Amino acid sequence: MISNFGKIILAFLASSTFAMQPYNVTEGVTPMSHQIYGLHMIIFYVCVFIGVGVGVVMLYTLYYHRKSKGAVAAQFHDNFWVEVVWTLIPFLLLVVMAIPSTLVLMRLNDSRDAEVNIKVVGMQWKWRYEYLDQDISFNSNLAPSIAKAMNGELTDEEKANPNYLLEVDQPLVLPIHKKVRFLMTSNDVIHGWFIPELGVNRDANPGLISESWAYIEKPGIYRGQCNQLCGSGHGFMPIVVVALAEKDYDLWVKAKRKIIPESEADKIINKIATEVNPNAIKAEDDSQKTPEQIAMSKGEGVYENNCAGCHKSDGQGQGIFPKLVGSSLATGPIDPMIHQILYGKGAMPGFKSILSHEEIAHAITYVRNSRGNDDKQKYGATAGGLVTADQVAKLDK
Amino acid sequence: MADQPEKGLMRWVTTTNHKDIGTLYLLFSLTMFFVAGFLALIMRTELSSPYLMIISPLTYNQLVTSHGLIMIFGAIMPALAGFANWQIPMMIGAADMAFPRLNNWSFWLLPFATFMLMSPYFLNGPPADMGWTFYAPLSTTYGPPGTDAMIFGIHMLGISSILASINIIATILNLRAPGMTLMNMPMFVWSWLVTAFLILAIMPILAGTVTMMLTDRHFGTSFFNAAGGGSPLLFEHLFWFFGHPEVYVLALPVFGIISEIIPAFSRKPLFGATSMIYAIGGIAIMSFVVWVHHMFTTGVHLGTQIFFMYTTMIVAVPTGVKVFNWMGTMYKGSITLEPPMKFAVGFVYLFTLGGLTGVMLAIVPADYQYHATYFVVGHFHYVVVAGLYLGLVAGAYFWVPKWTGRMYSFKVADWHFWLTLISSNITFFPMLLVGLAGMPRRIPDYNLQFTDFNQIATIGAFMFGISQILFVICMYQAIKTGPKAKKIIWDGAKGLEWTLDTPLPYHTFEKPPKVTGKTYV
Repeated sequence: MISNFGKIILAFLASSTFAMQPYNVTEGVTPMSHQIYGLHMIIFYVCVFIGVGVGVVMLYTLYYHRKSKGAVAAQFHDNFWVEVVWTLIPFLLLVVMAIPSTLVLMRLNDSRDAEVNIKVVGMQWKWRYEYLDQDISFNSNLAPSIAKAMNGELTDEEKANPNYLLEVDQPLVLPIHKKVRFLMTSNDVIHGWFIPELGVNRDANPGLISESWAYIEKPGIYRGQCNQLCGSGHGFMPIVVVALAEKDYDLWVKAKRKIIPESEADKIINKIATEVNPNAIKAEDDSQKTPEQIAMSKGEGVYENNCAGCHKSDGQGQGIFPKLVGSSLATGPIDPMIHQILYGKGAMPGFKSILSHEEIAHAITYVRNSRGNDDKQKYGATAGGLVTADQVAKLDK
Repeated sequence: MADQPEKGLMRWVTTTNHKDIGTLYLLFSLTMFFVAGFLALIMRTELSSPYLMIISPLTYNQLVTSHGLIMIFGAIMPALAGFANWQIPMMIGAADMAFPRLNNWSFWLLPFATFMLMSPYFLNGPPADMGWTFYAPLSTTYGPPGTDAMIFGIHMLGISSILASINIIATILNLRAPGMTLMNMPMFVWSWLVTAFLILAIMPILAGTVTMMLTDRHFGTSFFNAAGGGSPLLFEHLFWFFGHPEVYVLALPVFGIISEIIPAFSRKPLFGATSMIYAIGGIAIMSFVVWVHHMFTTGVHLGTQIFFMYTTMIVAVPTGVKVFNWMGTMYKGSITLEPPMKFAVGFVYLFTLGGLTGVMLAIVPADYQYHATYFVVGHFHYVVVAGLYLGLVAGAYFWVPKWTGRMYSFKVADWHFWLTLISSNITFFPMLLVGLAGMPRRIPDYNLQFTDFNQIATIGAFMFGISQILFVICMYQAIKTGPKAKKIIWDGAKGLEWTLDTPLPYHTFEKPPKVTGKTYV
């Protein structure tokens, strides 16, 4: 009986609604985040001490010096030494706080001698990561897609995800036990790259580069969000960092650089995701698919995150944004379509510096082969077709 | 000069009487307080649970912007100007403000400026959606058409504040009764004198900033556009060089109100009055050299961060001195807790909590974990709502019966106090906690881990909003239906305004009184 009762209590405590929600700054997983946490707790206790002190004196006065208690007002209105003391004590307290804060701050701002350099580019509303020491770069979008989240089209399963709004399609992968330097900038407006567990919080300003760094001590998945208001998608551009042990990281880099099959990269991330949370939703295994299937499934993701905002998920367009279903560009020759996506036209931005050649190729393949656009009888021989990254590269001068 | 006001609407349109204009300011402010509060309740409803429910993310951003701008420029600043208009001439023994017609103009700019600010909602908008800090380039290159209405609205609000400040400075420096030296002025007058100089110093900077925005948007300049050689950081520097002293523009006059109320109900002179004046001056001067503490995470140079960390910590010292002086005033007094005193004591404690969270934010490494999270939202709402709003209500409960000659119900006012005290803590304390847990501000939807605290905050916000109806009831009683008040309303209150009849005649001090000795300070 008792054990059953205990189980019920445990289940009650473990159920998400009644579990204690986080209410303090995280200790984090870097030496700097530990030091920040230490400073935070010291200043917190100093403030609690002062707050309680002020409260106690006030309550004492309000209780004992009441007219109804027969208190007669004293008429003093100055006391030089008391005033000197209560000016000096807070001042000295602050001096004591200032010294360790300055030391930690100096270390926090010293990003010299980094072993890994990552350029972080904020844009409405996703992050782009460029590994400056390796030839790797990719965009990181809200998963399953920003268009779905902002239009309220998520399924119940996606909504119940404990990482709701904190999941991305491609996380930033970093090695542990290496000093990683981040160089932040932005393509459009000011964004903020904030990951509490790494103790990193830096704005990404257009036209400027700001620096920060982290030395991660523990493999794991660390999540954050953009924290500078950057337009309507501001709440929907999360940051996910996957920290890997050195061996796994090297393998991941090789997979990303296509020295070994790229599907190896997903396997590594799936493995750590399962270690962190056995119920995590796993990325699909692409190794059994045909190139067409891969292009279609990846293209859908690229489309949802980059195109659906204007052209809508169903490709019907809206207002000044044209319909893609049956449009002459989406069913005609391939090159003009690649050209427009690379360089933009009118209100449409160019995606040359936002998407990789491969991503553009996937998105074009997806648009050309979905919703009946590949109907050769209706639209002629040019409709449909599998587009490759090389075709895109040829037009990108 | 007629002894009685004109009848009808034209009285309010053409009035040059400081009391009428004060009334206009205060009623306008109360209206805008409810308008902007309503916007906040829409946001709190959206945040009462994860997932988008009633408004789109774009609408949410528009509400964030309007709520902030209207509360600051439409509710708090006019309330302060209202108290200044009513009280300053009477406290220094003047017949009216120095420039009565200018006074009328300063007020009547306000409703039109606020209407301009709100107009995109009624016209074919879309309204500004980049927060009350309207950072470039989100407000320039990416700003919706309604941004221009905001720019012109801010220009007009700025002109209104500058004119009111010139008037207040001229009044205080020239129209004091014989015998009232500067160091013998009431603390409320002192705080407004310093505030008026602050406004004169910062409003032109804001005006310049929004003009640069306007030319960036329409005339091809690149002040804030990196592609043309400008810098978005320049905008942040300019904005916060205005924005930080603006915080003290809101706070200092309320410090003045509290410094009048606490001695009155402690029946004891203000403790350390001279050091209070120096503290006000010290805060005002320091407020010009702390602005980068809003920008610690922008990537400014290490040396800059260290300098502004120290200055920000130092500004806490004169603020602490003020709190200790208020406590020193109460200590060994003969205290009664009528509604104005309840609100004043509530102000002192909750403002202290707001100030202490500010000290935490000053520690730059810790700020890296607090910056742009709900901790900041909690911090400044503790200062402005749980602090300054309580102080303004205290001022209204203290002086309005004297002005109108009618008393409100203490019972209703006590309910108002307890409900406001409790609900403001229910609203803003969870924000501090959820902010420490890492929830960013200005987001319409959030991860499930932040749900509980947001739900508590939403419940508190609705309690707070509904409780303020009690304030309207009390004020209605004080103006229309309450019992007649005696000449001496608060037995401990000292000052020239309390030597006058209740209710106050339409014109007061047509012959200046003679002030002898150290009356106040």
